[in-house]
Amino acid sequence: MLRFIGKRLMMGVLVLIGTSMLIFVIARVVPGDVAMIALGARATESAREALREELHLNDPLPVQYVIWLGNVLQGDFGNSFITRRPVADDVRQFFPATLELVFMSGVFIVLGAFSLGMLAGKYKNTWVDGLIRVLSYVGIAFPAFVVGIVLLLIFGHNFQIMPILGRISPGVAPPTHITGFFVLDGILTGNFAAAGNAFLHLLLPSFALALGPLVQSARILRSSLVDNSNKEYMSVSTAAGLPPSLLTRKYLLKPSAGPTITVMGLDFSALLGQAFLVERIFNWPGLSRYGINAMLNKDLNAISAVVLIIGITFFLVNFIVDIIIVFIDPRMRIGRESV
Amino acid sequence: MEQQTKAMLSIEDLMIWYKTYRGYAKVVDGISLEVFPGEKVGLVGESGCGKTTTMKAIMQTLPADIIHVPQGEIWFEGQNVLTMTKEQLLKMRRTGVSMISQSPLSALNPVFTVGEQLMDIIKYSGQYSKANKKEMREVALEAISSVMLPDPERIMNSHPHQLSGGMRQRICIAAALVTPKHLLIADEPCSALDVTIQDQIHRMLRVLVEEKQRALVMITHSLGVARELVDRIFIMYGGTIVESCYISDLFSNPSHPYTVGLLECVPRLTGGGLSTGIYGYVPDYINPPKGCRFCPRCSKAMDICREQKPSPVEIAPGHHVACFLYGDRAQEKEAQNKTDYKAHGEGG
Amino acid sequence: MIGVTQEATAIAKKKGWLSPSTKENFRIYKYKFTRNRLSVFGLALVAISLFFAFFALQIVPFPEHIGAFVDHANANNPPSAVHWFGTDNVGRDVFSRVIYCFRGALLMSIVVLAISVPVGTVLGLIAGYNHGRPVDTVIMRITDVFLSIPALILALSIASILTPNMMNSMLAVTIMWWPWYTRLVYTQSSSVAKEYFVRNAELIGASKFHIIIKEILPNCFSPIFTKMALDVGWVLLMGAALSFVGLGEQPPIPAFGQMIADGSRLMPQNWWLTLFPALGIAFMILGFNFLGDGLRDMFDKGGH
Repeated sequence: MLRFIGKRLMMGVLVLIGTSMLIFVIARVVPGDVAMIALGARATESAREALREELHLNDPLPVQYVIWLGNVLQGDFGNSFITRRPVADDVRQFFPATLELVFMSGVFIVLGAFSLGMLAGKYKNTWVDGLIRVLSYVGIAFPAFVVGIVLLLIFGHNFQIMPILGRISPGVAPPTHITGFFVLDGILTGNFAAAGNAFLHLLLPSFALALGPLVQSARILRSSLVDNSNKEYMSVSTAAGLPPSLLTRKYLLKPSAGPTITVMGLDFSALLGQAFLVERIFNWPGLSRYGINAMLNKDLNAISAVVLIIGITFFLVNFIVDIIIVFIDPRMRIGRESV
Repeated sequence: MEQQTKAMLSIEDLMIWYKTYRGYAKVVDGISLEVFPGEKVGLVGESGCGKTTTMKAIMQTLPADIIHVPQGEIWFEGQNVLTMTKEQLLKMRRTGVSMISQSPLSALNPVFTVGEQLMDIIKYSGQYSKANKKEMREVALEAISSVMLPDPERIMNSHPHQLSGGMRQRICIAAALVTPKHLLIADEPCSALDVTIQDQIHRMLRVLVEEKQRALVMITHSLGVARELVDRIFIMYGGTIVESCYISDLFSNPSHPYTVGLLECVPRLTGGGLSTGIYGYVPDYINPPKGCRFCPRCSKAMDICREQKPSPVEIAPGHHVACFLYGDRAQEKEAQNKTDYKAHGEGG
Repeated sequence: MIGVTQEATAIAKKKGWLSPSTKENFRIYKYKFTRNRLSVFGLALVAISLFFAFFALQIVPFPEHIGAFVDHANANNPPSAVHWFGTDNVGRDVFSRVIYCFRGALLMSIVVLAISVPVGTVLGLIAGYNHGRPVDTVIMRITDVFLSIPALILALSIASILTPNMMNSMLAVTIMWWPWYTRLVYTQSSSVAKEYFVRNAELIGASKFHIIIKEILPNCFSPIFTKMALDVGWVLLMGAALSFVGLGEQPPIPAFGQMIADGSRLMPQNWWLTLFPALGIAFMILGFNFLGDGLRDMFDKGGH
């Protein structure tokens, strides 16, 4: 088990080094004249030359990469071309908001997928199953940003029962900074009003993000449950006289959970991507909104920071997913250890 | 002899159909059989002739959504399995019948340890107090050693994929025997085992049946195994029972052409070259032959065989054959040979 | 004995006991595909989408509204008999524009898959056939790097650094799409490469090229085709996301994401500006997803 974790971490670090090269290529090589993009066409040639010196743009590419990576490893992503602030400061400010949003989506996905998937599996080929299937088609057909707009419309404009924009209402002071998660900070500092308000703000955007992966994983779970219920070991356990509830809860669910959790981990990639659009719609002050603004303004330093951090997050989530799966399904140990 | 005792298991004219894309596959086509307490019964036939399907129907573990039972009854200890309530079914599975699966590689749940699976079976058999974990563990360990597996402690903590096929098969046997049941269905329990272990398992099964008036249904390919272990035998072909008799009659007086062919397929240690055997394959179950299902492969087929289904005829006490070669002529034969058969009947 | 075997085979053939013929295979495929009515429905949706894409200019009521057209007198009209999907804030017919979006969306899917599938497949075949050798490691580690960043984010960053237009958005999506096929084909081909028929071909001295093309590739077709049908939907989504933030097709030429983004600013009053493009994209995605599911069922070896 420890060997598996160690191997997996080492592979991850190797891939992340590759990822950093890719990001470097995107942020330094593809754009052409970085100084031109950073300072605009109206800047003087001497100002551009000064920036080139500062960013070591006149050195050969490998040297540039090593210097860039060295700075990144020390947490220095350079200054934003737009705000002129250090990118690292911006990241520190915005990242917790995105993590909070993504974490809440994860809660929705896990709870929703398992309850809907088990319902559909239990009542397969009935109207319950049919309803969940239709829901899953809705989740596939409408991208998260469309779902977000619809939720915004229904709850924000028509019923006005839910706060819709930002992390917290303008009149409410954010809780004292501990973790950067507003809900958690609110609870920790006893500021329950702020926590409650922040929680309500969290619901709609995280649900918009969660819906697609949620229904997708529910479908996967449903089909694994149905597949596995026809396996010989289920027939044997049934014949042994185990009670039906134990059969479903234990003997059927555990072997079926593996594929579902794998898909959840993979869907997480789409979720992080869609967060870029959903944060924009809900005006959520997170890293993704920061990232998309950076992209639209060609703020190269900020883009590379955001992409790298998202890459690391994605790796960590899949690392955790791998460990969970290996715990659930011992067969996977052999397959995954050799990877 | 059996007329006095009540059958433990009796299947009456059972049909089982599977839904397929081309229509219903009529896999079990009206079979009847009886098993009495203290009896060891063999069920022999080629792969895919409906043996396992019939036995799974007794346990009610066939996939309900693709199964159709157009007719028939399955009686176990005075109750019809097909109309049992959930509680009755649970009780039957816990104390009445146990089944050893044919496919050892897929019969154990891959994500739980052997011990956990055995313990659950013991816990829910209702025969041990749930609080007494230690006692239940002892029972599980004992079951593992009873199938000649070394180091039961280690095996308890192993996942199925860490064990060999033969070990898993023995675990399946242990799981079926770990709590006492009245009827034991063994579906080719020894296919992956060495001859020596096979022999020991057979001996164990025999003791289990004989000591407490239990019963055994042994599904097998091998007539040799049947000869060694069972009292009475049912030969199945294409979802029908073509011949049933005491095991000694099978070898002294095989009557159905399929049985004759089957016996000719058994290689003999005494030599004598290869036999002619049986041509062809098991029938297409979706569009089965209209008359006798064996007739496309039968060397003695007559016109009537292609038109009508033969019903079983008793050619001697306890010896039934479903074949038009017998029928009316059987009575004459019976009159001639009455004394011989009587001897066999008593012997079984 | 040989005589007996031949006789038995002959009998078996006559009785239809042997493996199914081509005609029977087709029947099985057709049955497996049509067994799920949704697959047939998906096929219909896809056919309609293709029709819209090819004949958009011929069938829409106001072809001139697709470009830069202004008619302030008819601006912001809700759906009516003349303008089925209403008009936008400069008076253009939303129906005509939505139908035209099918063309761009389909073009994007075709271009992206037409480039990324062959590239990904070839790399996957090379890596899979050379399983365990350095070339395998190099290709698969590069693939891992591309898969280590969420696809949409990678595409967004590439597209944002290039000039925002249709071509560059296709390029951006293509760059992050090939690794999925490399990984799919790699998994498939590395297991096929271990099979005896490949070993046999090696033993009789077949060239590597021959083995990869004739022995391994055909065994990868069914997963590739199935994934392609499902991927059309994903490429559409990706394209819509890019154009939603303004990195795809540039105005005045319409695209689904761009129309939704523009429309959402006039929500909830001018709801039709957002609803109909959203339905348009859902129409296409559902169609290709159902079709893909049908293909998967069709190639699935199991089932009844």
